[in-house]
Amino acid sequence: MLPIFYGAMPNLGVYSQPDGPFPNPAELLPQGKIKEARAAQEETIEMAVRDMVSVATSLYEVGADGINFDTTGAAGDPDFLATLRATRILKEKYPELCVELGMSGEFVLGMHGELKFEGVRLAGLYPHDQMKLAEKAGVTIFGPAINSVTNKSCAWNVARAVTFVKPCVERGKLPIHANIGMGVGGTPVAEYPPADAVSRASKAMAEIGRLDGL
Amino acid sequence: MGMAITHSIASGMGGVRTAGDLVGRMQMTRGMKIREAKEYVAGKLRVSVADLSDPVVMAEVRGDLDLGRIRSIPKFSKGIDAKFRIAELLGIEINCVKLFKKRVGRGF
Repeated sequence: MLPIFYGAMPNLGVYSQPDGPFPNPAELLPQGKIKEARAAQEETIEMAVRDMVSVATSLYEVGADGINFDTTGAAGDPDFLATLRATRILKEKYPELCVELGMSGEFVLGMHGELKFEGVRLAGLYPHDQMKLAEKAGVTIFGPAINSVTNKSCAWNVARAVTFVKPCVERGKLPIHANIGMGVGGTPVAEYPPADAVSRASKAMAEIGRLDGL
Repeated sequence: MGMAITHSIASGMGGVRTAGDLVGRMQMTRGMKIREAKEYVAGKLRVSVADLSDPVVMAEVRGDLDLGRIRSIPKFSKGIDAKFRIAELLGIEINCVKLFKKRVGRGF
């Protein structure tokens, strides 16, 4: 009876050698082969989009209520672009499909550096700008992720996370479900974050951040 | 699960125990923000927004409207049966309900 989401992490690593078909940007970049690294990332994006659309299509056609692309942007701007493109294709195909896009960190890493979506450079975007592109792509629910700073207190990190998230809630049209756990959203970096710290972050996000969900 | 339980107790609405799943469905299907989603669901259930998070009130409301409850009870709906009723009450399309109708070949 509960709504069923299928969650998956856009994982660009599997497309690079030795696991995948394309040259590995992490090996090319230290050699100064920037042009080659970018070309490999661009090929990776195309294949990742195709795969994400294929998997999400199959899940939707067997009855899923929604798709959750989680930890988007973990491989930087190519990863974020692939997910935005996949979302746009899916929403054109199935307008009623719920697509939740959760981020991997507060800042889109410029692993390519020149990728754009709707004319906006992806590298360096913070949550309030990430959210605008998510809206344009057709995302239904957006999940910002704010990294915890490990040499600061839980209270400091919660305050910082709420500061980042609140403008998304106030300015965005989408429901905002921030990521609050295991090193993001004001919680400590731990496999099993302590309940006292998590409950404080959770409560602060609901009552001060006015989140739409977690 | 420890983290999920902590979140549920600290800031959750209560899921199927209350009206959390119904509010979630309005966010998912209509992209509503939480306040709008709560007001919509409260209107459909004819209760106040505060009642939506009250497990005592919602146990009665869900029982009266047969929307499924935390445990399956004889003569009350559960699973896809409850989803049919939820889709009808909220005026939304639920993917697996749509698929079910298609599979059994009925327009309903």
